Formats: sequence, structure tokens, C-alpha cells
Amino acid sequence: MNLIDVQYRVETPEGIDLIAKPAGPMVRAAAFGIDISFRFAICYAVALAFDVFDWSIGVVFITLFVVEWFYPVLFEVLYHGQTPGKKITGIVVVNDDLTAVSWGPSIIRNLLRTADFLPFFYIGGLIFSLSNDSFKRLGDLSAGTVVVYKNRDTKKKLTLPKVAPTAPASALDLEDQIAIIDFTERDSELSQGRKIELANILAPIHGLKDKKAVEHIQSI
Amino acid sequence: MQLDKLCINTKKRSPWEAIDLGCKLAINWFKPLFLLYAIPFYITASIVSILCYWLIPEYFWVSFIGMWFLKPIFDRAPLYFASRALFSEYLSVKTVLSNLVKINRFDAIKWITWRRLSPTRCFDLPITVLEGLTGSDRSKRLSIMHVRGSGEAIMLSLICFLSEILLAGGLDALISLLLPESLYDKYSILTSDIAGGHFNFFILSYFFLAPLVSPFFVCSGFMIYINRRVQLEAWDIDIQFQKMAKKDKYRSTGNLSLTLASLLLGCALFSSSTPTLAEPDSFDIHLSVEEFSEIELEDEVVVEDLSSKRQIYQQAIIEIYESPDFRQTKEVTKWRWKQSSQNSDSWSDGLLQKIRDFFQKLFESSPKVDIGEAPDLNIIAVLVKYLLIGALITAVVYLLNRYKENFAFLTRHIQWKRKFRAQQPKPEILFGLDVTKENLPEDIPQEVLALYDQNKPRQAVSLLYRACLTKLMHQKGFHFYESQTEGECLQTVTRSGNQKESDYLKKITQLWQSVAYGHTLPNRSPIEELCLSWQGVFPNEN
Repeated sequence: MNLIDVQYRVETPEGIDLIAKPAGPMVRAAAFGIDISFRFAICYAVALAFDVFDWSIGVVFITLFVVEWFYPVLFEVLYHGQTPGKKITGIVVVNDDLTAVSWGPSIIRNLLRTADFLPFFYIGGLIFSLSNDSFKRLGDLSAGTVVVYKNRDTKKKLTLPKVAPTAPASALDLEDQIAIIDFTERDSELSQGRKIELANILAPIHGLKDKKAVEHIQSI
Repeated sequence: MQLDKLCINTKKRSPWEAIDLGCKLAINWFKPLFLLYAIPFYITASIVSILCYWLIPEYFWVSFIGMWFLKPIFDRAPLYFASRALFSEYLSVKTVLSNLVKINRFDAIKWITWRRLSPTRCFDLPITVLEGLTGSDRSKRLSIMHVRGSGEAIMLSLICFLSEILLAGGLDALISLLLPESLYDKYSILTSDIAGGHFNFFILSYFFLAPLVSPFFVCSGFMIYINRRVQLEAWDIDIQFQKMAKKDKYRSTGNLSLTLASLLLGCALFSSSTPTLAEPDSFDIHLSVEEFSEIELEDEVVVEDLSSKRQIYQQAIIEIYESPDFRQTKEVTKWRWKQSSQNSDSWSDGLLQKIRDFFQKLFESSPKVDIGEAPDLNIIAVLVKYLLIGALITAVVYLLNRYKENFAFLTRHIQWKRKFRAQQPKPEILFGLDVTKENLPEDIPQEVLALYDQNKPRQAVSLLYRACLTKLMHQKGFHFYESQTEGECLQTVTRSGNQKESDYLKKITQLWQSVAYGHTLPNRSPIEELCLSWQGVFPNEN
């Protein structure tokens, strides 16, 4: 059975599969919302600062132009593919092969923002991004970029349950190993009842019940 | 609940990723979800708007508020469908619609009154509708679930609400733009104020478009909920454990049958392989001496056959290489200068003239412009001009400095390499071969032939090649790097233009490669030949 999942897979020349999680329209809308408020704040600040001069409107328009067209490009290229909004929501722009985005693609994807904006307020971009697998809008498709979630460093300290290690009864596949490690690591997250339930599923293998079964699996 | 029937890949996700998965599911099931929402919604909306228009035409916006409050009712049918579809049970639209009242019987009044304002509605709705909890149970459950994902649920509600409004506004604007001028004033929200009652068209577009957004809203909220449950109840571990248990069961029951099967298979193989062994006519248990020698002769024939076959194979390989699959023709278009030699002088003169003009203009004092109220602006302009020129020069210098490696390749290639070479020590090992001067025997050709005669052809060729490289390095002054391959070493020598050495090395390299990598046994004659010419290429130093 083909399970539905949101995944972006790139195979390197060495034959290694890199897997990324493409960011959907909702999270990108949130990032855009944050960015646009920053942009507005910049323009407003400039307008206030030059308010005393007669020609302030010109400066405001120039700022508006610069901010509108270059704010995303500059941040994406110089700040590891993240505008402030993307930074806050934890997403990042990369090339199709998951390398860091450079000037060319970034400029193209941000110029084509105008095309995605059509017919009004990013409806085009929304439809485009919903109709392909990795949520690419028109600008992404033409520039060869993709927006993915940044891997967060999980430096949170894990508190593992205190049990004496034992060897498993039979050889374990990679997936089995991951499941067992997860079971041990999420000890504090799961309720005792659920843990026993889970451990009892494996009863035919280890032949233990309830609390002892939990401890046995955690000790592997 | 049968977790193995889940149609999504369970794993740890952040709430935002869960929302993305929800969008994906909404796209997958868009038609049923849309119909389930749209049919009741459109019917109710038309009734409400007709009633409002008929009873209170001045306050048509009441219909908007009313429909907005009723929205949770319509969310339930798609949610019901999605919750079943998630476990691969696809209900028809008709069945869900006929159960509409039953689905909505529980808690609906609370949802369309005070709970309507809850920003985490999409997240909480599954808890009520699917788990059927009330009172303190419900609030306890909510507080557990809300530890993660409630913030994202609020953002989701906000985004969906905004996109509904924007979609409706957009449709309204589009139609207003296309309307003839005589009707324009009456229906547009662009030109009239809301209080005046011309809000109507916007409301109608909202009614029309809201069902388009709701599948995403419902599915995404549902996925936040499911994701939280996956986290709390470790569905992914559950699924994997089930798989492990199943595998174990299979293993223990399958062992016996497996051995039986392998036995059977072995028997079959054995019985099928015996006739092939017995096939050759000459194969007899009682072999006489003559027959034995005959077989040997046949073997030799086979060897010759192989060498003649090899040619055929090579021919075939060449043919394959020449097939269109391995041939790519590319058309490359490039810009290049027009070839007009008589023009070139005057053209470059013209360019120089232009550059001169440009700089003259640049440093001329700028013409005075009468600006009236701001006479100081001239000075500012001049200042800005020089600042810009300064910035340009700085930028060019900076860029040259930044990318100086890219420009330095012209000079570096010639000078640095020489310096570098002088500093670098000569390598002691090339592709696994020891190439120090000290480990070589005195008389190389003799040693090589002796090794060959001792039936050690590989060692013989290896010594020859090794000696050749060592001599080239120490006697002739070539420089190889440890990272170089055989071919690259040969290139280094060939490039230097020494015909004699490069020819010699080429022969040895080919021989060495065929022995070392091709695993062919060399004949004596090429080795002999190389040994004879050794003295010519590398005359004794003393």
C-alpha cells in the first residue's frame, strides 16, 4: 500500500538518498505574513525619519521599491536561505538538489513572485503550490528551488529510563531498531498504560507480560 | 481502530508539517470533501440569504454573520468522511449526507454559539465529534492535547479566514471590474461604504467561495489532532511492533516449511544438473591415457577460441559504443565578434573616445538647475555623485580582492607551480607501489627477466613499472604527485615532450595495467623487448 506522505527525495551521485520535508502553503503564508509586517515597519520607519523634508515621498517610494524587490533576495542569499519570517517559522529556501540558494535562482523566484501574486493576493501561487508534490509555486518551479523545513537541532537532553542493557532475542531490522529506540526515548512522553499495551504486542517474541515486558524492551 | 489500515505515513512531525499533510490529503480527497461541505452549505446559504433579502433587505449583512456562526455544522460531514478515509474506509457522499443529522446531533448548539469564537476550532472539533467527550473529561483532554499544536491551529484558522475573505473580495472585485458602468455603483464594494448596504455582493461571493477553503481547513486541523495522538500514543511504534510480531510469527511457523521447500528445491536442482554434467561424449569414468591427452588438446582449442572470440566481443563493444545511444550531438550557439578587420582599429579608437568623454562628463561640474526652494540640493547632488563614484571604485577594488583567486590563475599556473614543485618532497608511494630509489635492485632488466623465468610474471612487470617510474623521478627529474593515477603520470611525461621516455612509459603502463587490472598473463616477448631497450632510455649513471 502506498502511504500518503509529504517528502522530497534527492539522490546524490554517490547513491545516497537525502530526504527533506517540503513546506506547505500554510506555513509559507505565515512566514510571508511576518515578512510583510517587517517590510511595512521598515517603510514606515523611513517615512517617519524623512517626514520633515518636502521630498520625503520620493525617499519612501525608493525604499518601498528596494524593500519590495530585494528584501527576500538579500536575506535568502546572505542569510542561509531564510528571511526573518522563514527563520521564525523554521523553513528555508534551497536549490532543487538541497544546496544553498545563490543569487540567480533567488532573484528569479522573487521576481516571479509577481506572477504568483496574480490574479490577486497569491491565489495563483497557492493553486500552483497545491498542485505539485513539493509545494512549489511558479517562482520555485522556474528557478529550481524548493522551500523545506530546516532540521532543528534536538539538543534537548534525553532522560532514558534506568534499566540494565540486554541483547535482543532475534536479529532486528533497521526499522525495528528505530522503533525500539523511539520506544525507549519517548518513555516520559507515553503513559504507563499505553507503554504496557505497546510492549504486549511483542509478547510472542520476548514472552514477558506488562511491566516486565516494558522494561525488557527498554533494556534492548 | 486498526492502525495498519492507516493511509498516511506515521512519524514524528511538527504541527506545521501535519498541516501540510492535511493539505495533501485535502487535495487527494478534494471532490468528496468539497461536495460534503458545499451541498448543505449552499442550500442553507441560499435559504438564509433569500430570507434576509425578503425580511430585512437593509440589514443583509445579518446573513453573513448568521452563516459564519453556522459554519461548524458544515465542517462535521467532511471531518467524518476524513476520519473514515484515513483508515482506508471510503464512504460515499450519499451515505455521509444521509447521516448528516446524526453526525450533528452531538454538541452542535455549543459549537455554533459560544464555542464559535474559539480560535482552535479545527483542532478541537475532532475531540468532540470523534471522541464524543463532554464536560470535565473534554476539558482535561483538551489541556493534554493543547500542549503542542494549538498555536499552529490558531494560525491555521487565521490564514483560512483571511484567504476566504481575500478570495471573496477578489471575486467581487473581478466582477465589479467587468460590470458595465451603469451597474457599477450598485454592486461594488470598491466604491461604496459597507454601512450603505452595498456589501451584498461581497457576501454572496463569500458564500460561493467558502466551501473551496474548508476542505483544507478541516483536513489540516484533523491532521494536527491526529499528529498529536500519534505523538501521545506512539502509533508509529505500535505499527512497527505489530510488523515485528507478525514477522516473528511467520518465522517460527515458516521455518519447517522453509526447510522442506529448500530440500525440494535442492533435489530439483540436483536432478536437473546431473544430465548437463553427463553431456559431453568424451566424459567417461574409465579414461585411457590417449583420451586424456585428447581432452587437453581440446582445452587448448578452447583457449584459442576465446582469443578469437575476444575480437568478436571487442567488435561488438565498438558497435555498441557507436550506436546512437552513446552518441550525443549538441548544437551550441555562441556570441562572437564579427570578423571585420578593417573596422577594428577605428572601433577601438571610438571606444577610447567614448570612455574619455564619459570621464570628462563625470568630472565636469554639473549644470546648475534652478530648484527654487531648495538651492542646497545642488551641493548635495554633487556630493552624492562623488560618493557614488567612490563607492563604485571601492566596490571594484573589493570585488577584485575578494575573487583574486579567480584572476590569479594566469600567473599562478606558471610561477607557483614551479615553487611548489621545488618545495614538495618526492612521493615514496604511487598507487600502492613503492617508488623509492633505495629499494630497487642494481640491474633491473636482468632481475625482471629472472623473475619472469621463476614463473612470477606479475612481480616482474610490477618491478619493471616501479623501476621505470623511480628512474623517471630521480634520474630524469619528473615530478609525480601521490594523488596521480597511472594515466596522469603518463600524461605528465607526454606533455614534457620527451618522445623516447613517453613512448617507453606508455608501453610499460599498458602492460602493467593489463596485468594488474586486467589479470592477463603477459608473454615473454614484450617484456624482453622492454628490458632490451631499458639501457637506451635509462643509461647507467656510473
